[in-house]
Amino acid sequence: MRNYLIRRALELIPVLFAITFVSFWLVSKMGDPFATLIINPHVRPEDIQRLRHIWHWDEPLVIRFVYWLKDFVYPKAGWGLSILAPGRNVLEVIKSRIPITMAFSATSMVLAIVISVPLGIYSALHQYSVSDYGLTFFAFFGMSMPTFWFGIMLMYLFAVKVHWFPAAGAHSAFLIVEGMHVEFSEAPKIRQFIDTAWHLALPIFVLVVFQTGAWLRYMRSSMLEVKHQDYVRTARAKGVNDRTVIYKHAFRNAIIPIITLIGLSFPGLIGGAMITETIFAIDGIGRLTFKAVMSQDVFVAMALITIFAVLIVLGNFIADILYAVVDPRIRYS
Amino acid sequence: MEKELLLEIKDLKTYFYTDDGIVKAVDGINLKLHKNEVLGLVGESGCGKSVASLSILRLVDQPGKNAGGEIIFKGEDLLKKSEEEMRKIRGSEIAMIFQEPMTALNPVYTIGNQVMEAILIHQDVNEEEAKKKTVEMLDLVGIPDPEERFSEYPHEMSGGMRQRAMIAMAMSCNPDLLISDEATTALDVTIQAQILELMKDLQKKIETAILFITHDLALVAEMADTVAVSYMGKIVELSNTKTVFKDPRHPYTYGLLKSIPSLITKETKQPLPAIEGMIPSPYNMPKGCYFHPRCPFATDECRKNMPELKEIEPGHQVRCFHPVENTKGVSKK
Ligand SMILES: Nc1ncnc2c1ncn2[C@@H]1O[C@H](COP(=O)(O)OP(=O)(O)O)[C@@H](O)[C@H]1O
Ligand code: SF4
Ligand SMILES: [Mg+2]
Repeated sequence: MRNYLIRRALELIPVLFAITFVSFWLVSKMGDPFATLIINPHVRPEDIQRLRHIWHWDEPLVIRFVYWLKDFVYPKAGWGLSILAPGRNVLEVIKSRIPITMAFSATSMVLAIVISVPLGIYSALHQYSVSDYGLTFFAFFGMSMPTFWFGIMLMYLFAVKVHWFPAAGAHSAFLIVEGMHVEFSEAPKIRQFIDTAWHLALPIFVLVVFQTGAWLRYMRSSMLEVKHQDYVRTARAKGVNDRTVIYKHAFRNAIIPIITLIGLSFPGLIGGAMITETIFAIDGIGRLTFKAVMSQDVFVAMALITIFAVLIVLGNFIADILYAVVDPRIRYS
Repeated sequence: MEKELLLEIKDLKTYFYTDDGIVKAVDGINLKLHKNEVLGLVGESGCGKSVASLSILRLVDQPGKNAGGEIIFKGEDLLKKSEEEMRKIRGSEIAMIFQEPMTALNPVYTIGNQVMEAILIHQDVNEEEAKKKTVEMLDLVGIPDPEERFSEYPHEMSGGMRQRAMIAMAMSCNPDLLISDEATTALDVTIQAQILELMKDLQKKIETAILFITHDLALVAEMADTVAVSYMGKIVELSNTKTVFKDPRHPYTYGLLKSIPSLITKETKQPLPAIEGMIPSPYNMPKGCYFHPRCPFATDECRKNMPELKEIEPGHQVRCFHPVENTKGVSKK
């Protein structure tokens, strides 16, 4: 098991390296970050030349990549030429956006798992029943609904038509505490939490519906497949009761492919965050990515893409580990 | 020498109600099995042997249903028992081993866990005692180093060892009846012989009756006291093993015997091909005797009516209008 882990971890290094380099190359095609300076009458061409040199922009791509990588791992103060946050270290900017994205991505993921796994099992155990058809309908609805459209519809219905939820933002600017207007950051933690939850409810709902749809279907078909396996019949022939047959013998096998699937859904999660954050004006990583790309902010975009690559690769790695934990056939191979 | 009756199957019918029509997989079979006796049930693949055995344990999956008959086990009809009562019988009074030791064991649990489960369900023992008993059982079925093998997973064992583990599981609660459905079919010839030896051995030690199901008449000759030959869900010939092999009267049995290399007579020298033609489609069964399209002795009567299972001499039942005469000497045994 330990060797397996070490081997898998070592395999990640070249993968990460390759992804980062390809991204760097692609982002460098996005545009010249110094081009915008040319139109600025206060900046002399020599200054631009000097800046290019400082940022190694006058070197070949590979060399530039090595310098970039070094700076990414050991960032200097004020590293990166950020248009979105001028003068600030790009990584600092990104770091400040992470908690909110984490909060609502992780919440939606956990909720989606907690909802889709039991519903998928239920659907499989009641195949072709009315509830199975209902769940199937819901699942296809969730999967086929474009996230941006669904998000806008929800916003229109629940924020614009009836004012149950706020239309935008991750939290209110002010909260009313004991009859007084208090700045959000000054309010009690519990009030901050409730306010944030209220703001994030709609975007979380959008992501949960989307993910639940797919996972529910996968869980259902996995369970259906396992239900007719010989070992399930063996268990029943042994006199094992139905509950144990389902949860001990069938479920343990049915969940194996789902774990991989959830691990592989990381890219989808990031894409989903980008769309929902942009629609609901939540200042998380997703919206930052969108803005970085739109404003050709090469440094922010590159840093974000690298972080996403690491997250995706880590997601796969975690899925692999979980896979080995639940499937004894993996461990020694 | 009147033996005590253990199992009497009366006119048992198990039908599959599929979208394409009703498949009469078990179509009114009658069988008697005495305590401590081995009854061989023989027939080509697709004849309904597995469905018959699963019917006894009431483990036939949808869309299969019992369509009549009785299964009198120790004087009580299993078809009238509650699901809870059935569960107590499965694995303790009636145990079953299956064809594929590869798939019949759950891949995510250890051998020990799976054998122990049966003991924990049916016997009033604690975990420690159950574990001890499991190791004893593994030892009894000839698994070397039972203590280490206890914590091995099925994929770490050979097919023969897995089938031994299955037998340990089945025998762990000293069942009155063991159903062996093609238990050795998937194994090499040498391993097959060892497993048969083991079963015979245990049958004497534990005093279990065995319903020994196979498509291979040669195995029945070694194992069974009584032989029932089935064709398309019906018993076509039933007698003690010696009679069936020396004096087969049903054309189907006759054909099966003639095709076994080890049993052919001196005159025929070469094994004949198995019976001409193939089993009919279960959705499109022939009228009259199911065997008539393949039977060299078929007459118009056979094409119109289904013959009854009749006793043509004491203890020898045949379902045929024109039982084969002068079959003496078809087999060397
Ligand atoms: N789930 C099912 N649906 C429809 N028909 C089935 C099903 N399971 C078995 N059968 C039918 O029952 C018949 C007997 O099958 P089986 O008992 O497995 O044969 P055997 O064990 O003698 O090879 C076959 O004709 C098969 O088509
Ligand atoms: S009844 Fe007729 S067709 Fe059927 S086995 Fe006997 S002789 Fe052949
Ligand atoms: Mg079979």
